[in-house]
Amino acid sequence: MNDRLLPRKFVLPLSVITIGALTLHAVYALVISPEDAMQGQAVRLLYVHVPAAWLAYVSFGITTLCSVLYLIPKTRSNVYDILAGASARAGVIFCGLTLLLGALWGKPVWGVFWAWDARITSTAVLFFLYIGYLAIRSLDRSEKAAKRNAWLALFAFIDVPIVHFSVNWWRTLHQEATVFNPELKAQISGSMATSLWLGVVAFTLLYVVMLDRQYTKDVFQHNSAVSQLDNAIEERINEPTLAGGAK
Amino acid sequence: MSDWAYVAIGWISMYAVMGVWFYTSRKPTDKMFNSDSEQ
Repeated sequence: MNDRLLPRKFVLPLSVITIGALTLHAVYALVISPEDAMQGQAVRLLYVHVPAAWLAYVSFGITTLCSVLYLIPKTRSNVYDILAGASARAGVIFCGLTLLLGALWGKPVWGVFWAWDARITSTAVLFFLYIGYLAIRSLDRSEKAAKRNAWLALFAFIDVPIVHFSVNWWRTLHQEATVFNPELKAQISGSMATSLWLGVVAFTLLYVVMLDRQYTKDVFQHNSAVSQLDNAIEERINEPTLAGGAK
Repeated sequence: MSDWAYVAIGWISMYAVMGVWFYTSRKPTDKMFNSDSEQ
């Protein structure tokens, strides 16, 4: 099993590009793009809230894909199990940011930090589903547990389309999709659209860098746990026996 | 609170979360790992 996801020589240049993209995004979102006619300056929170939500979808999608690949006997590999966990961790962070930034946007625009609206509630459910997934993953590292965790990830992913289509299925306070609406006609343009897309690019680069970092850490801990167990078994075998043969 | 205050809290919180995420996802060094298992 490779100890890294990306070749080592790509990590530093990619990290530098990511920091550059995040900086450019911040400049566009906070300085260049104008305030919104209805939302005022609060629109600047949408340039991070929306990319965070999309990257949460992507992260959980990668977790699900890796879980499927793990469950298929021909493609089963510890790489997919570890990658599923690393991507889910990223997804939980992006989902948490989505809820936090959405609440901070909601207060000046709607007058409330929280509403029991379909989109917001289903996103909160998604957040807790994957926190539960990560908690259960941490309990047991056996192959049997890995299969169970993979099924759990598939179950949790059911909420992702519910979150996305909630604004179409129910009458919601949350606005309908600005870009990925049923007509696929973007309702945003100019420097506002640029700020949004820069956010998506910057967050995607961040996700790739962090996924590699988390994967590297998880592989190290997996290999260390395996070698510690091997060492413990060998020590036990080599222990001197008592006269009656007991150890 | 003004709109800019909410914007500032949001963006600063986001960078703080990213910073903590970056720090906590570092690969343990052998020294860190061995000192944990010796406790």
